[in-house]
Amino acid sequence: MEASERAETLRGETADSAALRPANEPLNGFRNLIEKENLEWKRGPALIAHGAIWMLIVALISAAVAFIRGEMEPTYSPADINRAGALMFFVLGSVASVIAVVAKTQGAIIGEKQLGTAPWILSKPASRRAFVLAKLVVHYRWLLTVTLLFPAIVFYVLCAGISTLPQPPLRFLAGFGILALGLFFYLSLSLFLGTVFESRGPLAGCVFGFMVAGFMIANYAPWLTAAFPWLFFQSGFYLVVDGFIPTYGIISIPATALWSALFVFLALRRFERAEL
Amino acid sequence: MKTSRDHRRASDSRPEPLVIETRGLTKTYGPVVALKELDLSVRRNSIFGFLGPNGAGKTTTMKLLLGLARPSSGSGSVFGKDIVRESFEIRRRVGYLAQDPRYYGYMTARETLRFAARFFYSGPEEAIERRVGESLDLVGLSDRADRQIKGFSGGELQRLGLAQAQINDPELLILDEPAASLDPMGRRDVLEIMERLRDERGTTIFYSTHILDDVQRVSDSVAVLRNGRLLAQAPIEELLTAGGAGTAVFELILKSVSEKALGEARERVRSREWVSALEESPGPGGEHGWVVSTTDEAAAEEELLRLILAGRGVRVLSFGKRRQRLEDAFFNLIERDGGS
Repeated sequence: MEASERAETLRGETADSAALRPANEPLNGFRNLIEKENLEWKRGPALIAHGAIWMLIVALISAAVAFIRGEMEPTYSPADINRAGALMFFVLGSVASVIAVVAKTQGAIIGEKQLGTAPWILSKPASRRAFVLAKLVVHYRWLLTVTLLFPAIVFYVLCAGISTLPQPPLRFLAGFGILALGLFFYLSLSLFLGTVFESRGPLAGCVFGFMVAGFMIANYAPWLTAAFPWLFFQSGFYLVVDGFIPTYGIISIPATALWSALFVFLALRRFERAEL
Repeated sequence: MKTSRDHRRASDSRPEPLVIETRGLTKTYGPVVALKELDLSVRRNSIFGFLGPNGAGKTTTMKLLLGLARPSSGSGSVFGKDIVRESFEIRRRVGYLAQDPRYYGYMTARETLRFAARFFYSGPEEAIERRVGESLDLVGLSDRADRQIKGFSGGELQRLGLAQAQINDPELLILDEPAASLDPMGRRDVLEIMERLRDERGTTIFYSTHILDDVQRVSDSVAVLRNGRLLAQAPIEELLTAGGAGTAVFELILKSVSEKALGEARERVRSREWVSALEESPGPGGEHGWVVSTTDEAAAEEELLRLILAGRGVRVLSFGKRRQRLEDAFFNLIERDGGS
């Protein structure tokens, strides 16, 4: 028997005895990468650190503002207290989303390219789309949870206790949804930029710069705010306390969803062609 | 003593099919030409040493073969599959060890191998665990399997790298400097593992290294690259034969009873058209050292000794073909190309 034939036989015997099933999925490696990303969130100090910081800033400070305003203004009704707390919650929630996204994901793709783990993974039969999508899914899951979801629940309960009048739950939920969409926008932007830049600084600068520029542009070209999530905090706030969303907000929600989809598409496309 | 390489040569009459084949493979980064029109052929079930100074284009070639970089022009195939269009299919059958392998420091060695294995296998879990255990045994890391790898030494990381590279029982192993950070014992172990994988599993191994002694010890074929250009590609025996392909240099020690007899022998040898040079040097005790350069190795093997012994009065004390060390061949090639 020739060496190569012997080898095929040996390889066949090994495979049979081990009964290993070859992985062959359209997004091969997705589940494996999801597990890895989840492990990174749960193993390190990131989860506790982000959880504590955003709980303090988004939930407790907002609730404290509602409490202080209620104490300082005896004429304030429960609705006024809710209004003061909600404004602070939506402002801090939208800023926190951007900071958390940059802090946690600026190195998500760039870091792996620099460290050499991305080429290692992609030398295996791992789908490049799976590599990016796993980061999108897992980072969104945990960032949404620690930056917005837990703080929102705590804030909702505390504010109801302080004002003695719970915020309208469905409207609060819808306002939360608007912030969640804003978080997704910045996350998809950050991942897309991770496929563009080779170092973290420009990425962080672009994402922060985009947010800050939005606040400035709102004063000079307010119509532009309809195209981006810059004033999502206002849309959420008005929806919760007044039950409506301003016109620019109504336009900015689908526009932001479209931008997010575009960034995800571009991130996938660029990473598919990236040289590692 | 016969090596496994010699044994395989003797037993395998038909040439093995090509596993890697590139035609005019070129990679440029802006104005920099990292790889220029590379034509490479690697046969199945061989250990192929890929040599060259730093920046020669070895890692670039490996990345192109794995789909981690895209060729600027030319083409390449692995297992007959196109390296650009069918990269996924190629990677299913290949194991790769990077030059400076990096893994997730928070994972243990076992977790790292499990993570790597799951790109190839969807289950069952116990079979994956068994494969992970076998790989840890193969590289001697079983006792450190559950330690976080951020505390691993360079040698331990390299062993882990070998383990993860062969976790899928690959038909082709691409190893970029597999023994670079290892001590002599670690190097020996790596070479033994490579030989075992070739001989027992039929794995083709395509590897780059700077350690020329290692290449000479285990490689079947060698390619030398410099500044992105292929300087030579040949079976190692051919490369080690002094003078280049088809040529050979023979060393003899003769003793003759008279100067006349030696002169006649010299004339007989020099009269042959395949003899390009004959250098002579006096030895101790009336011996004469001859170095005969030839252009037709087969003819020389058949006739040279007979020519010398045709007349009376000349005795041959030793006769052999001069073999270069790979290091000599390597530096000759580099210097001929204008390198220092």
